[in-house]
Amino acid sequence: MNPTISTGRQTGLATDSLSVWLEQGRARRPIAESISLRVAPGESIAIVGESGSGKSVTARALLGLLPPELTSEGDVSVAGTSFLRLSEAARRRLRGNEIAFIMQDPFTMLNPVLKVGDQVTAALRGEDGRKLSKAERRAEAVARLNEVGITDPAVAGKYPFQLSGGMRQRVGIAAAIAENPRVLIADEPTTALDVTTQQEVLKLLDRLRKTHELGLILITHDLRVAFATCDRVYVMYAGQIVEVGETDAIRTQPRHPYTAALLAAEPPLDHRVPRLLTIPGSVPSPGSRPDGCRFAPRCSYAVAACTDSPVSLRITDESGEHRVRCDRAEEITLITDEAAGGPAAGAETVQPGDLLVKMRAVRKNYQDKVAVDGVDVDVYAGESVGLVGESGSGKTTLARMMVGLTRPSAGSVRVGGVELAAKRVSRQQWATVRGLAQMAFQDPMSTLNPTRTIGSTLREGLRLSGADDLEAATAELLERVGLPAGYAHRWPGQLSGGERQRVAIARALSRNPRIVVCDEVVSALDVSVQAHILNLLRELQADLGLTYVFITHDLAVVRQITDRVYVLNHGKVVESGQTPDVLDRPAHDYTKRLVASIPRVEQ
Amino acid sequence: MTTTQAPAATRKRPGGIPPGLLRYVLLRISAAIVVMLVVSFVVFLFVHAAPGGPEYAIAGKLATEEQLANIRQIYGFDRPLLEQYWTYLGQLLHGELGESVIQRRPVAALLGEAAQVTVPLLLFTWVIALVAGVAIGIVTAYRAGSRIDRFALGMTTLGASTPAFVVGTVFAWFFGVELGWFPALGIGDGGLDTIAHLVLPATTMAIAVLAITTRISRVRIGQILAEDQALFARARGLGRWWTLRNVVLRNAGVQLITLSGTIVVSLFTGLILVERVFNLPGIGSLMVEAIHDQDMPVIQGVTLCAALLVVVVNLVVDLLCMLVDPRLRVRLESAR
Repeated sequence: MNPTISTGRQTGLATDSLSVWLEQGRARRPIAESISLRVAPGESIAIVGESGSGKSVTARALLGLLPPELTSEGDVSVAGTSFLRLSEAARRRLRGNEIAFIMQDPFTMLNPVLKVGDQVTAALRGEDGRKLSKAERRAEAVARLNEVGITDPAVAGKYPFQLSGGMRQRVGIAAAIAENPRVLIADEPTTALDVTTQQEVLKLLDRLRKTHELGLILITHDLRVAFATCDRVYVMYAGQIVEVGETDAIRTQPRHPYTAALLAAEPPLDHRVPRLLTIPGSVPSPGSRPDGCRFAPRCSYAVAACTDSPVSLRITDESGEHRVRCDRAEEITLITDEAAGGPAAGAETVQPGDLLVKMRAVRKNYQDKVAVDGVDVDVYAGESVGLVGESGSGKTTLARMMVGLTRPSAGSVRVGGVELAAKRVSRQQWATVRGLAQMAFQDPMSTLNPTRTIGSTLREGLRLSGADDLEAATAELLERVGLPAGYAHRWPGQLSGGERQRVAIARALSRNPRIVVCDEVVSALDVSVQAHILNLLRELQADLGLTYVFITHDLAVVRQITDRVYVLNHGKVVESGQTPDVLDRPAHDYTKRLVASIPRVEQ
Repeated sequence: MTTTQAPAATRKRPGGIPPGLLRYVLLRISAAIVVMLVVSFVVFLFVHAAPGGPEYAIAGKLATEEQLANIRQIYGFDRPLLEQYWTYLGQLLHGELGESVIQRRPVAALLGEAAQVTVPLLLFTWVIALVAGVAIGIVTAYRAGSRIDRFALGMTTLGASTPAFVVGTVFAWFFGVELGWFPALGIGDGGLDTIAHLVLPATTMAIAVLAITTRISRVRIGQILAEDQALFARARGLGRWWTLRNVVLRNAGVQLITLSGTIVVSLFTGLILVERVFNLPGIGSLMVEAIHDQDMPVIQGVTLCAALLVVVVNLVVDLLCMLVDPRLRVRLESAR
């Protein structure tokens, strides 16, 4: 057996050429290839990659918990034993005990019909292996919850649905580490959480890593989170590790063009850039990965030789810590966002045009819950207004009221001179509003009708706006959002996430509106795709003179796309003003907390 | 260290039932009573809706005018309708369901005798259909797409699409006559003998609904197994049985309880055929004979029984769902 694998007890967890295959009848497709990684007790590593990189599959392979259609090869060493060669029963004993796992969504990870305390203590046994008494279980539950920062003992007797997302994720962590494992694999543990909660959970993981000597494997798509939390970073692309190194080395001196491109695509929080750098094309699916360097077709530094033969992971520094899967790593100088230009265009104040949307003292109640509580918002022609807040802040409700999808309970909403809070809004008035303001949604998959082609979806709006030649208008619309005209004949299911979002934007544009209300349009997208969409939105604004209302929780996105911003908390506007002023000099405590919660490397 | 406070605990008197929950339970029970009142009124009207009027329904077509007048007198058909209903309702509450026109015996007694056959048959069938259905559901959900899965799907579908009288006849002939394992006719002398007599009819009825119970439990359990919580339980190394009990069955609880209620009701209608095939003197047989003889009081009695069963089963199902799913319960507990 491989000698490196026998040092498991010291290394915590190590893999040796772990590969995952998709079995389809006789065909075998690699999903993740020759993944070699290690994490020592008390160390934290990050596996970073976009969707399709194979990072989540790798996490499940580490636990021996792949879905039935996937198989793994190679070995994982846990606590000095070859984990994947053990029997299923033996592996089950190690899971939770030596190696633990927490998942992305705290809303689905916990059992909804079991009390929190019972879930946390489910795996616990007494010294002699007997079951714990009810009183012992309760005491253990309270103690374990206390460890993850839940000090209220009553929580143990509650059900998950009675807790907030952050609390649930804490409960999940408490349950996962109840048996004091050595390694914790966290698959996107904060992606579903609000920024302020995200920061608390990341801090908690960091603290547990130190107090419990826990080896932490953090799977994430977010480079900021990885840099802020982990000692070392593994960057994955199309099933391979393309770069490994100390966090600082990866952050400041990435050697792989993909890593550099990812870093550059990340919208900066502290300044507005004229144009975000993007990566052309999209991540290849497992069946269509190119020979040679996987990234070559999208790489601006690629030469003919790059596609000749598979590229191996090479050491590129003296200490042997920094390894890169690029043959040209030494020859090329990578451009990061700093080189692309600092604060510049777009940051100038927009001259306000007519007042298009005027909301005064708007309230919205759902039974006894107040979603929006007396809010004033103005939107002027030609500007881009951000509505920022966490879940439950009322930002989406506000946006829906702007386009007439939700009726306000009180107050006044005037859109293009039409009072939407009125008892009766005539057909004529609705036509005015719909022609003026359109909405684009977060998840284009669920808002595009899967049984209609893209063209047929777009033609619906075009017909209403009175276009003469529908075919030509559809082609023009697709071209506007950067898609080939041929896409008119495709179905929503055939498109990638980014392409679908472009279609969703095109659909909003089909009525030729002056205002586009964008509800979290980039939050479900990978960074590189997000950069494409943000650039597109800016181009559209410049070309068509559009007005945007941009709903988002992401302050870096707010910085890039908005001129003015309203910060919402619990249904109220707590702060508003020019975007740079609000982000650089937040006045309200909540805004300060929001800005401070962005994961960043402590200098 | 970061700390997070739990939301303020919902007010709850120690030991007492929370007012919201109590109100719901009382509301559900009163709704059930109202439904039964409406049904009893409709059943009461049966007699009056009979061709030729209520007196014909009781005396038959060949009755003389004198007999009819006599019946009107005895039954009080000449009094106002509501007054008659009031009397009828009073009798119902005392357990008096009238007298069979044909057998000249109290309907309550006839129903009681028939129930001694039907209730064990119903329970037996219900247990087989549910236990077998959920068991096959669990096995096939854990091995979705395997040969066992497809085999079970095929067999239960075949069973469901074969008419009960065919299955019953084949069973009676094969297991009862050819192999002689179980008695194929009659009800036996009570105790174990009765159970032996019920095996074939109960299995026959169970097969008819097995496809539904299997399919529903397989789909629901498959969903649960695909959920994050099932993967999380495996990742924590929690045992198979723990997961089956606490994740699979608890989460499927509401669906399984609803399903078992639906089955009881649908089985009741299936009784008629099966009791005929196996010659069992149960409620189904009673109903068929009563309809044939136009024995109106018996028809009324059986109808009331069926309605009562449906209403009670639905009530029990709703209350049990409330018990197993905290999400349903807590919402009411916190309501004032």
